[in-house]
This record gives sequence, structure tokens and C-alpha cells, in this order.
Amino acid sequence: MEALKVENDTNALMKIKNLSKIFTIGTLKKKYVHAINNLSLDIGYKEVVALVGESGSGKTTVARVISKLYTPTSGAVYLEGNEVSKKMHRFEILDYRRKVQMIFQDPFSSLNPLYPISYAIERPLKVHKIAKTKEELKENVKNVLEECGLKPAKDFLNRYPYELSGGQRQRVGIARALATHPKLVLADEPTSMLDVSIRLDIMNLMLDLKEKEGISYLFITHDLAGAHYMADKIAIMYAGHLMEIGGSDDVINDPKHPYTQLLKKAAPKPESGLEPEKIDIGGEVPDLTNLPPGCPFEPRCPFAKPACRERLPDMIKVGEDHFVRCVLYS
Amino acid sequence: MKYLNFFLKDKKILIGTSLLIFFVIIAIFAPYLAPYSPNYMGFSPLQPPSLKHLLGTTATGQDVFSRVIWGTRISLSVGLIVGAFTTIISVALALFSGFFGGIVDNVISLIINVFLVIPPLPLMIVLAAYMPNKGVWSIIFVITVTGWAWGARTLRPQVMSIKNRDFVNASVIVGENSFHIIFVDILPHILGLVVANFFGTAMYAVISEAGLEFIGLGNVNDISWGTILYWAENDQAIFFGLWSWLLIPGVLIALLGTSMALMNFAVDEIINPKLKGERNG
Amino acid sequence: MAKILQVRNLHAGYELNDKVVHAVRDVSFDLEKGEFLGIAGESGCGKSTLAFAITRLLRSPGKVFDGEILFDGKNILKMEEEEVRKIRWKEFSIVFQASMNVLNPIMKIKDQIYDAITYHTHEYDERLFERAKELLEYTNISPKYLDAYPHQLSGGMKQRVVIAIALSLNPKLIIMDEPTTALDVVVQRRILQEVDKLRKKFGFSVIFITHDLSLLIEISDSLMIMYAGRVVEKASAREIFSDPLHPYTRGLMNSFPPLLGKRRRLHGIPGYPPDLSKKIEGCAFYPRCSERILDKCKNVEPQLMEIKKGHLVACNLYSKSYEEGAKNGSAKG
Repeated sequence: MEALKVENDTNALMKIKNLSKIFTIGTLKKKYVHAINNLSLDIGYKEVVALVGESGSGKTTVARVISKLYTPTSGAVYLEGNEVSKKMHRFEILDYRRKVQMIFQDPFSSLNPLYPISYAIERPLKVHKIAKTKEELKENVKNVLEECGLKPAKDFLNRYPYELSGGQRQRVGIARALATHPKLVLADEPTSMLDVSIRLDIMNLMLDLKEKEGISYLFITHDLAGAHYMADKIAIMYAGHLMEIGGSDDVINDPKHPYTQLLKKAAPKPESGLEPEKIDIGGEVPDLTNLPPGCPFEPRCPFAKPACRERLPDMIKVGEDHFVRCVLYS
Repeated sequence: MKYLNFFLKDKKILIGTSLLIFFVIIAIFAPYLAPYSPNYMGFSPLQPPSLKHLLGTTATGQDVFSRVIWGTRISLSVGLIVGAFTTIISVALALFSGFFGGIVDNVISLIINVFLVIPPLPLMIVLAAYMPNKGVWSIIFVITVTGWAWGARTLRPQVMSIKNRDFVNASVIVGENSFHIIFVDILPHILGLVVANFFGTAMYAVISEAGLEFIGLGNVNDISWGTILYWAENDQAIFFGLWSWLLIPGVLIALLGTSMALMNFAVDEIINPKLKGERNG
Repeated sequence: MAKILQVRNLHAGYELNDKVVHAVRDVSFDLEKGEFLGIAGESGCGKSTLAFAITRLLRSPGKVFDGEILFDGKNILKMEEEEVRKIRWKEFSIVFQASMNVLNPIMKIKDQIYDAITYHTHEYDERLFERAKELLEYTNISPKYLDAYPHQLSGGMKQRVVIAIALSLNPKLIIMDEPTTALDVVVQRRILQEVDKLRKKFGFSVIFITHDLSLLIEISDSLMIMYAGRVVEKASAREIFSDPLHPYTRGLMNSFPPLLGKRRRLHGIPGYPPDLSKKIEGCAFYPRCSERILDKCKNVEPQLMEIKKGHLVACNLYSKSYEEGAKNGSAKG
């Protein structure tokens, strides 16, 4: 595993260095799913980084590793310089969880249906001992719910998740993540299961909270347009590899990697008029248990060269803060 | 509560609960309901049913009716106590095994499978035969040991499927400790199954207790429906045409078992519409 | 042009224990042969109920309360169950949301295709295999997958198999209810391209239902926007794109973060759709409408009217121009 040529921002809130995650499946005949391959990424303070990819790209796994639901197979994650490791003490883990929270994709299953909304918000406050008295607790719960657009809070406190709409539930999910005043929120496709007319509201809420509370987001999505709207930086993943990363406008307006170009072509562009772009793409998403040695995108790439099958290059600088992992630019 | 309405409408629950309450009342008020002392041996033996002895008398001159009433205590309490013990064991093991996974799961699953593979009746008989102090508690022990595994086996996959749901992951990320997640977040979701399981096992216990007592592996001087049957068989009630002595305890065992089974079905039915409510929510 | 489907004043919904949900309220529209109609609206606006009603698949507690559905001239709602079953799949077919889950996990792909075909026709064995191969080719799936089981295919491939099965008897109409929601954008684009190509080749009509208007604008011939169980706007895709009339449609068009161009803050449509189990006074969109006329929109329920040629809108903002137009004898409803 070669070191990144990227210059790391020493003021990064989170640094991910050469992260790999391999899952073992099967008992007798074992198979190894290479979900994440040598991923390196920085997230700055008050910064939104979008992690864009399709199913099987590994983007959700990255969130799960960062949130310590999984442990890295190799490589490491650093929060404010401290390594997030298996050997953390209980109080270190608790401190980490106060700073790093998560919003889930499915507003229907991310809230425990047997408890009222107040439960979801009270728990983080209690676990992290943020409120010292009953009054403080009530006050805090009310404030965070209203901050997330659920006004008046008292109308929502005793309701159950099934009584709320998808958009409202997602606001509860955001409020829960916000309750501990985290520094980083991992948003795992937070709008993909919501109606189109509500997505903007939720995204705007997240952007407002970023300004107000100084939160950074890792915004995971398959929607390039949503990523462009939300993010300062966009990172493109394919088959567990980071393929391109750069400023939001740079990656969208001048995509360097063939896969990014494909994503851009495939995305709906209703604003551009009525001539749909035809994409000429065959092949299927690669099998993560059986990845080729070189570039995983090679079988489907219109610009593939023989060198692509042999090796996957390091990240190559193609612009100001814009990097690509592709033989075409070496 | 809309459940109360549901409760009263469903025949199964109504019959099951009524029967159960009926037996509980008899058990509690046995001293007042039994006309004579169950152990008194002064009546004329082997009498058929009469106004004085509603179910006749035993070979040793005891009033069968009084014995049957007092017998309710042991038969019922063994059922409920074994139900409680096995439920606690199986729920705990299913929760730990399902939640922690890995080695913990492997070890517990192995233990569950071992207990499932051994045929319960022979094991019960062997254990009961070797128990030092034969009596109600030895029987409770034996039935519990052979009866807990099935519940654990059915609850474990439920726990595992709930564990994978986002709200459990959310609790982990919020920073909850495992104890809270297991007992506050996950357990309520399997409560319905746990209760259904309780009644299923209680039914199994009632019948097993009767069986073990019947073959004399308990303390034959205890008064339970099983021991009454033991003595009836031992003293050849059939030969003497004393149908009441032989039949009635058996019918009562069947009835108590039925009431438990009905409660089991009823709880199953309550769970399902609730599950539907969760899915739509 | 021949009309393959005519829906007239359809009322449908769900009869639940304590309330009745009116999911489809007085919906009328026509579909031409070979036309691609996109139906867009939020979840709960009744579009799925509409799809189920048209295909006679609405099961209790769902119910069609009133209206007519003429498929190729025949009233589907008046047919016997047997009759409908005979023409279902042959004349029209339906692809559901997350259809990939509809595939039988223990049957090979080819057997599932055979099933669909043999239920309605009498095909011979050899011909069945050729046909199955052909169908998979239409959706760009290698014939080696005929012998595979569903779990060996990716989500996108399974969905394409389902679409292939929907095509198997050359229906005149295919109804797709959110067929690409669970899929990735590249896969989505491929499937849409394939469906469009097949449509041009075989001439079937398509009704494509989704909540994501952005998908539809590029591929539909005409678009129908639904809100709270009613049709609020219907026109060619071009018209809707260049001149959206209903405030809801305008709101929807503004709800898509633009991929190209400068990043700027957008505002979606505030508020939530109404509860369809309650009676709605006046315009259902009133609470969320930024262009509303206070008294009128609160009390008067707008009717669907043809404001420009081929462009229908149900909105009080335009009723005046409609009346004027009618007076002058131009556009008619």
C-alpha cells in the first residue's frame, strides 16, 4: 500500500488513512468481500464532504467503519489527531460518540417503533449526561426538536414514529444526531427514501445546522446533483476504491475520471432541456469477492488501456485540490 | 385500551383465561373448597362416587375429590414455575447470543443444540431417577433442564433480526451500553413471543410433571394430579371400576394443558396484528 | 390516434376500520396507442392506487368506488374476474416497485419466464426457450442467466428480468409503478433507455409512475401531475417543462438541485400533503400554495380545464382565462 501523494490538511477534523475493510462470508468455502480498498480522505471543520457511489461502491461501509459499527481490516481513522481503535476505553468511546453521530437512510426503521419521539432525543442527552436536571432535559429536547423544524415540540414529544410522515421522522433522526452537539455527522443517504419535494427541505436544514452549529458532514449519496448541492468536496467511489476527489464544482463541471463522467451522463438533468443523453454502457457492477488486480472499472471503461488491467495508480493531482486515480492522467 | 376489547371478543382468549383463572382460584382456596383433609385415611376405601364422596375414595380411604382439589396446587404451580424459569433462561440466552454474536453466539448455540438433540423424556426419567431428594423441586429442576432449549432456539433468530435494524445501530452510535440496548431496545420487540413461549412451555411442564409423577419419579406422597393417577394405577382402580379416581385427574390435566395452549394461540394472534401495525408505521 | 386506455371519473380508495381513504378522486385521462405517459406526485397522492385500479389488482381493503376504465374499448371494471385474468399479462402488464422481490427465489429465471408465458398461451418447449432468450436479450441480459437463480443477479438485473417478463406476451400497455426507485442512477438510466427502445420497436404504451419528476421529463411523451388524489396538470412533457402552470408543478420543478450551473439555494414546497381520509374543502394544495387567491382557493375546488391546447390544469388561477376563452369560443374543456 503506497502512501498518498495528497498533501494532508493538518487541520482536518477527521483523517482516514489507507482504510481497507474485508468481510468474510461462508463457513466452509470462504469468500472475501473487499468492501473498502485503501481509502484515504480528509474531512475538515465545518466542511461537507460528499461520498458518491452506487450500490457496492463501499460508501455505506465507510460510514459504518467511521461510526465504529465495524472495525477496519487495515488502515485507520483519526479524529482530531487521535486514532479511533479497537482498544479504546469506555470513556474514550463515549467521547467519540458524542462527537461523531449518524443519520440513517430509512426514516421508518431508524426510530424504535415502540417508544415515543421523546425517547429518541432523551437517550443521547442522558447517556452523555448533557442535561443535569429534569427541566434541563425537557428544555434541551424541546430546543433541538424545534431547531429541526418540528414546531411546536410538544406536539411531537408523545407521538409514536408511525404517526409521523417520512420527512418528520427524518427530522427526528437529525435532531437525535444533533442532541450531543457533534462535530461530525455521518449522513447515510438521508434523503433517498423521501419524496422529492421534501428532500430539499431536509438538505437545507442540514446546511443551516452546519452554519449554526459548526458541524461537518460526510454526506453519502448516489445522487450527484444532491452531492453538488450539499457538498464542498466530492469524492467518487467505485468498487471500494476512491476514484476521484475534488472541490464540488470542479468534479461536476470538469469530471476527470471516466466513471465520474458516466455518473454525470446518467444523472437526470431536467434543467438542461429535453434531449436525454444516451449512455453507452454495458457490463455489470464488479464482484467484490473477485476483483481484478488493476482498475475495477476497466471492463466497462470506454478509455481502457492494457495498463489499466495491471495496476491501479495512486491519486494524481489534476487541479487545485483535485485528484484522480486513473492511468489516463499519469 | 383497545386490547381489552380484543381480549373479550376472541373466544380462545376468553376460554383460556377463564379456565386458567378457574384453576388458580381452586389452587388458592383449596383449604376452603375441599370438603375433607386430603390425607385423612379414615373413610371406607374404594368407594364409588356418592354424595358424601363426590369422586369416591382411594384404596387407603382418602377422599378423591379433596385430593384432586389440593392437587391443583402442585400441578398448576409446577407448570407456572417451570414456565417462568425456562422463559428467563431462554430469553437471557437468546438475547446474549443474538446480540453479541461471535464466540458468545457459537458457544450458546452449541449448548442449545446439545440440549435439543437429547430426547427429553428419557433424559427426564434418568435425571429424576437419580435425584437425591425426590419431590416437587426435583421435578421442577428436571423439567426446566430439559425444557428451556426450544424457547431459546425460537427466540434467538428473532433477536438477531431485530439487532440488524437501524434503530439498534442508532442506539449503539448514540452510545448506549449493551445492557440498555438488549433489555430496553430489543426485548420489548420479542415480548409477545416470550409470553407465547411461556404458555407453551407451561403446558409442556404440566403434562411432563403429571407424567413423571405417574411413573413414580416424584415423591409419591405429594398430592398432585400425577400422583393421584399413580396411586390409581398402582391400586388398580380400573379393576375396581373406580372410573372417577382414574379419569378425573386426567381430564383436569388435559384441561389445564388446553387452557395454556389457548393462551399460547391467543398471544400469537395478538402479536401478529401488532407486527402489522409496526410494518405500516 | 387510437386510444388504448380511457379513464373516466375514477374514484378509488381504501375502506379501513375507522375511516375511508379517498386515494383517487375523480381522475379522468386518456392514453394513446404507443404513448409514454408519466404520472408524478408525492407518496400518498394516489398514483399507485390508480395503477392497481386500472389493472384490477386492487384488493380489499382497497376498492373502486365509482368510474369507468375502458381498455381498448372494453370496460375493465365491469368484467368478470376470469375475463380479466385472461387479458391480464396478454393485453396489459404491470411492473411493481421493488419487483425484484417478486421473483421466486427457488425457481430458475427461465422457469419463471416460462410460467408467465404458458399461463396465457400454449407454447411448445423449444419455442419457449427461444422466446425466453429473446426476452432477456431485449433487456440486455446475457442468456447464461436463464439457468440462474434470482439471488445470483444484482438488483438492477432482477428488475430487468421482471420487465422482460412483463413484455413476454407483447402487451399493448405496460404500467410501471416506481420500477427504478431502489436502483442506482446508471442502472436506472439503462433501464429507461431499454424500455424506450423496446417501446419504439413494439409500439406498446407505457404508464410510468414515480415521485421523481426529473426522471420523467426526459423520456415521457406526456406528463400527468397528481396531488391529493386528483390530476392537477396534464400536458406534453415539453409543455410541462417550458411552461408549468400549476403552482405545485412549479414547486416540483424547483425541487431538483441542478446538476449543472452554479450552486444556489433552492426552496422545496413547504408543508405536507393533506390527509386523504378527511374531506377537503376547496383546493387541496391551498395550505402549501405560494400563489393562492385567499378566498377563492380556500373554498372553490378547481376543475381540470384545458387552458392551452393539449395543456390541462386544475387551478383557480386560470379559471378566469378559461371562462374568457370559452366565451370567445376557443379552447374547450
